[in-house]
Amino acid sequence: MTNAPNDFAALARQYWGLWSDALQDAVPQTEQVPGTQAFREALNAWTQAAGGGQGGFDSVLGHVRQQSGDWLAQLQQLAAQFAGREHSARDIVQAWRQMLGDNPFQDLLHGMRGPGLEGIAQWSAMAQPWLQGLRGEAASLLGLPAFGFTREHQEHAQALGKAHLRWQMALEAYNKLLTRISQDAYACFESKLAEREEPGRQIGSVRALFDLWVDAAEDAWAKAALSQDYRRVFAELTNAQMQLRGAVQAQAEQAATALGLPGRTELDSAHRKIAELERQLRRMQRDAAPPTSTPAQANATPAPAKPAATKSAAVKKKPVANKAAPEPAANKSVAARAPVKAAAASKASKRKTPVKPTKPVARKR
Amino acid sequence: MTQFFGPLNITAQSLADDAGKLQAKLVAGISTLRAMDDVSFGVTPREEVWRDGKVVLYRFKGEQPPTARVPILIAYALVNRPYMVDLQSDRSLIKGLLARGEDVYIIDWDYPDRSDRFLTLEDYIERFIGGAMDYLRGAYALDAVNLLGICQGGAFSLCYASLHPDKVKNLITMVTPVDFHTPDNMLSNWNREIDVDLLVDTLGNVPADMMNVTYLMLKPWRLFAQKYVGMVDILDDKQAMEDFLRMEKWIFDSPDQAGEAFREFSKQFFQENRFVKGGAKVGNREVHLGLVEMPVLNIYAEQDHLVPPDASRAMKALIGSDDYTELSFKGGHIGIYVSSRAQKEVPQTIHDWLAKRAR
Repeated sequence: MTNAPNDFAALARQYWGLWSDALQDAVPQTEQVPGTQAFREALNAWTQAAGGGQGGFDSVLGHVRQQSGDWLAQLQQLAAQFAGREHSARDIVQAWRQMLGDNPFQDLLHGMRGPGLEGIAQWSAMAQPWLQGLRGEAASLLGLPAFGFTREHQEHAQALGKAHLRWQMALEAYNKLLTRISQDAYACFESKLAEREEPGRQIGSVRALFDLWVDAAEDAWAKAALSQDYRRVFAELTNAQMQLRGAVQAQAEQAATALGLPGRTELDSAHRKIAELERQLRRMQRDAAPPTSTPAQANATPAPAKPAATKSAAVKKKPVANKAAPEPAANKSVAARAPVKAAAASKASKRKTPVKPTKPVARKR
Repeated sequence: MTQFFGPLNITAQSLADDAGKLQAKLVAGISTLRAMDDVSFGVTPREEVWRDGKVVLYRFKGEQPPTARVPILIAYALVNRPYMVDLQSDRSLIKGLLARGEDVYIIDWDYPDRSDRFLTLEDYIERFIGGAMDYLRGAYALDAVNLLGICQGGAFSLCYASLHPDKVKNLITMVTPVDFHTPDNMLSNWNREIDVDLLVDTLGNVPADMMNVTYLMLKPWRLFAQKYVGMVDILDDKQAMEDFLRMEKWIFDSPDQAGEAFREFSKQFFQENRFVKGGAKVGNREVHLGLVEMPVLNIYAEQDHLVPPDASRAMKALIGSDDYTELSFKGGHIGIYVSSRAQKEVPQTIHDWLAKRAR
């Protein structure tokens, strides 16, 4: 039987020893600090040690490692390049850019995937049987008129091809926008770093450096994401993806129908009918119900514990401070009173137009 | 010691020290994570008192019998689960209200599946909220009971209160959007040119993961990277890790959205801003906020990235009530339920406000 914490501790000492030696040796001259690999290996070892090598748990911890450990490893690497040497804000940003690439936003958003939320790339892979043929077909073929016995099928295939092209263009535009936001984020990062060049305002830890990057990236994101430009590009991406999904679903449904399997359309149609029938039934029940019951009560489950025995017990009892309130009079209805009250009740409901306060409402708290 | 200039005051030694601390956290984390049991949530005992299909009305049971005469019905957003207001014993709006003598009910929307795709706003507002309200009115022999709507549930509650002002004694709204077109509303900006018909026709129900990733994208670096980097700090603290995981559950345990209700809500509110511009409809009936004449307590969060304060504050000018009160909470959209400040401020404010109107 293994002792995971101790095993990992021994292994980690070895890795971090390497890491520490690499840092202590000299001012690093290379982009890839020798200890960085050890750092990553330590994190991998941790994932295995914590998960006990169990497949399911390892994948969970893999997410943890990816979303926290990998960032820490990269930041250690970044900071190590400038530890104990003269540097500027620009140097740091250049090094960070080299590590993350020109479009870190794209990479980050690409990481937001999971079961039930396949990225379009993953989703495209699933849709390959229907998309594969399109690549060979030139876009020019998509506009040709369809005719003959299979004209409907040809048109479906053409619609799918057009949708795929539209989606590719939309994705390209979205990635381009993300690249622009990424550049803004780098510029913002540099400016925030420059503000900390003076002694006394310097950044003293890897975590503080990461926090500053996050601030810069979020500032750039907020500015872009509230823009008309983002609204337009994001909507086109979503709409194009939906059109493409719809076209693929139609093809898949045709294939299912050929195999005698029910498709989405058929099930939706059944569900729509059921929902509508249910509404009609409720309407009829409501219309047919005597005025002394409410529709809700038909479905009421047994009353909560200690129900008030009679209506009068519930109604007549005055609220007294610090005394228990009456339990619900579950077996009695106010419906008999409610309609009367309701008739007088809503003078407001007779109004045809919205009513605005006639005087300014002072804030009361 | 040589003084180097630049934004970083980091030395090889300090980096090695940081790495050592990280190592210690990771080592401790192995034991912590392996010792974690299933994280519990939803702590207050409750009992089912009414149901309509999957939708269930629960009554919470406090340690003491309630002293309030009029019960409160809580309606939260369709994207959440009921334990959002009852996460753990020291983070529970429900516990706070019960401890102050309120009689609290909550409507559980459950998880819609594809057979629920055709549920509409009318179903959610008239059939489910309306059904629960009628049940409570009947059970307590009251003409009207209190309604507390949260986020989208607040928008539903406003619709219900406008359509049935005689049935709502007091209306409380929390982080509720009213003006969906304020310039700082990122979610609304993204929604405005989406072809919602195409989206719903294609997807049927809107998957929860799609909703969640949209929320993450509002602050992608903070919510997808920084949060988990920060988690390393608490790897050696079992209690803190349990709290963290409970919040993860809170955030990501989301039902899919019934397609037709999503379609109606997105188009009427996100895209057409009909609370402000008029013409919002539930079924065939038009919603006029001017008819909301009962007392209203509107609670919003100052740092809310989902429902900006101005989106919520717009209610004041639109409703007909001349008994309108605001609570400006120092915190965010989630902190308003789970922060320690919220536990002190929110239930007490609601209780005091209701007590004044119970006399």
